[in-house]
Amino acid sequence: MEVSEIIAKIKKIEITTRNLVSELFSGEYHSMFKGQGLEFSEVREYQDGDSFRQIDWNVSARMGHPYIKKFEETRELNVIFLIDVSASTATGTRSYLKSEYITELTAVLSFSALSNNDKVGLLLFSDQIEKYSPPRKGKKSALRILRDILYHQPQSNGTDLKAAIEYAYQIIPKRSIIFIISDFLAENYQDSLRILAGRHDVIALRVLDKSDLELPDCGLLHLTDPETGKRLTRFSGSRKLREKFKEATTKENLEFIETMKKTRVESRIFTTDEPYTKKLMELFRARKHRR
Amino acid sequence: MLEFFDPRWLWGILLTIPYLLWEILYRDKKRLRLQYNRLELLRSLSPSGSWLRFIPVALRVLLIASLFIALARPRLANEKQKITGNGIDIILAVDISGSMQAVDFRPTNRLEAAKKVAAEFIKKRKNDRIGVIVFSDHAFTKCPLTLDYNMLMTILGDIEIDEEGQGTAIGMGLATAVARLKDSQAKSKVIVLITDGKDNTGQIHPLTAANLAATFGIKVYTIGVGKKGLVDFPYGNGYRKVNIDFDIDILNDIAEICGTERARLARNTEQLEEIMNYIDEMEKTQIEIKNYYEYKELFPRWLMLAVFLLTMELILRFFILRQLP
Repeated sequence: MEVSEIIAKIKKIEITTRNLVSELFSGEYHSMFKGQGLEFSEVREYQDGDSFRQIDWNVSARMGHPYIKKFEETRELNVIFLIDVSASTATGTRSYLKSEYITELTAVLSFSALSNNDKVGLLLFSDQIEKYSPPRKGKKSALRILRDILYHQPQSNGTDLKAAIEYAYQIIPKRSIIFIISDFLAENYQDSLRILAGRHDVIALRVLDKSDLELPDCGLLHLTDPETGKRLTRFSGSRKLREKFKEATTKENLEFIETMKKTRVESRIFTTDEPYTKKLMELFRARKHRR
Repeated sequence: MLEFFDPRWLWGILLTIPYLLWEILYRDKKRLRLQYNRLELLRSLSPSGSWLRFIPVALRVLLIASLFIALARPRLANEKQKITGNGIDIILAVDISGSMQAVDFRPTNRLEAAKKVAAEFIKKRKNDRIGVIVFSDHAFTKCPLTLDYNMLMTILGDIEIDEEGQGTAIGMGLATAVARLKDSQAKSKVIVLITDGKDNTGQIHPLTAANLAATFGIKVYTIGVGKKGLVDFPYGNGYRKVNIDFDIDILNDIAEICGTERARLARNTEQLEEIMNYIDEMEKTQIEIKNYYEYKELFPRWLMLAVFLLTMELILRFFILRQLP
């Protein structure tokens, strides 16, 4: 992609997601990942623009001038995104590619984190660690994350979720919130995930295309696996095959949810033909209640 | 007979081989494919895949083949003969009296030998009308004059010994044959009389009949089969020697009256064949045979097949076996 294209895309994503963040998620996100609380830092004279709700009436009465009390968040959270950039996410049969959907999802979450004054970090993985940027603060860092995701050309096609999780476990010492955004079309990651979830607050967001769940009825399908390059031709006009396929994927999804529950990881399944807003809100709310 | 107007087109069918190779080796690898993540799942659900995917290719191959077959113009050639010239009329008068059972024409009896030789005689004739008359103590027209040699052969094959006949009425047989021929417009009229016996019954004397024949200008070839004296004759399960009367003189007389000089004698099958060949030679007719072919063109049905296959392929491709991508 051209740089200008990427910038345009970042702008677009920023605008749409910012609105979402300010309108919908601000409160939700905040209460979802709040720190320990507020801590008194200083008392200073009231200046234009300060909210009068922050005025400390006791001090003001004593000094004869309005004074405000400043608080600071005691703990800033680290939010780290583990993002799957394997070839399987570069597919899509609906209006979004999975990778685009993942990017938007990440944008929403990182802007939400930003508005909460959190640090955001990024780890891109395929079957190797593609890129790691440690958590940083500020609007810039959210945009940087977006840029990294869009700009990055994956070095490899495969998926090794297990290695990515283990890597994250090693390099993130401080307790963080870790979003794993992937299609979870991988194997043997459950144990590592359990270990990671023991130290961090892990949230698994599974992004699937409709075609990952249902075999489209498109006659003869000439298929290739984007990760392995294997070829296959099957007749999708067979209702029996489609039903069997749907059955298998539904079962797999249920198993996914079950595994995540067992490993104490909050999880949601997104499909690219549905907007993510509702599910995200619901996720935030669920966590708020759990707290 | 199936033949092709231009068989070189048939080589075109070989074009299906590179097409198949392209389809199997190259296209399958290089074709655009939909990226799909659940390949392994799909493979495990349907390990072998549907045979339906081969149908469009098979249809295409058959389509190409039938088009080239149509181009080669297959046709059914039907050989026809056009015969011009006037034939002659021949009546075969065959003796079927009991004495014809004598087996001196080993391994067959006289009648079977006569039938066999007569059949060969008929095969040699073309454009001659031939009829068959049988006689024992009375005469009977088996087949009137006809050009239908197939039917003639069948009828000839069906001739059997008249077990109930009492004696041999050569005169009657000859007279019946004359009756069959008398109204004939043919240039030449011939009776071939095959007998083994002595005229010993019947209302017409052989010589009277011979005079009749002469009156109508009919040539009579007389063939005597067998010989004088004791011959093997079937009796029960075996044979016994029987003395059969054999009157060669009367046959000679008939021949003389009817313009064939003398009767011919056949003691075995070879002699009989010789005699028949002799008659065949004597009675050559001047005819002209033109061979020509009638063709039935078969290419429309191959074209129709091709159109049908094309339609099928299009229907499959657009409605049932749509291909993606």
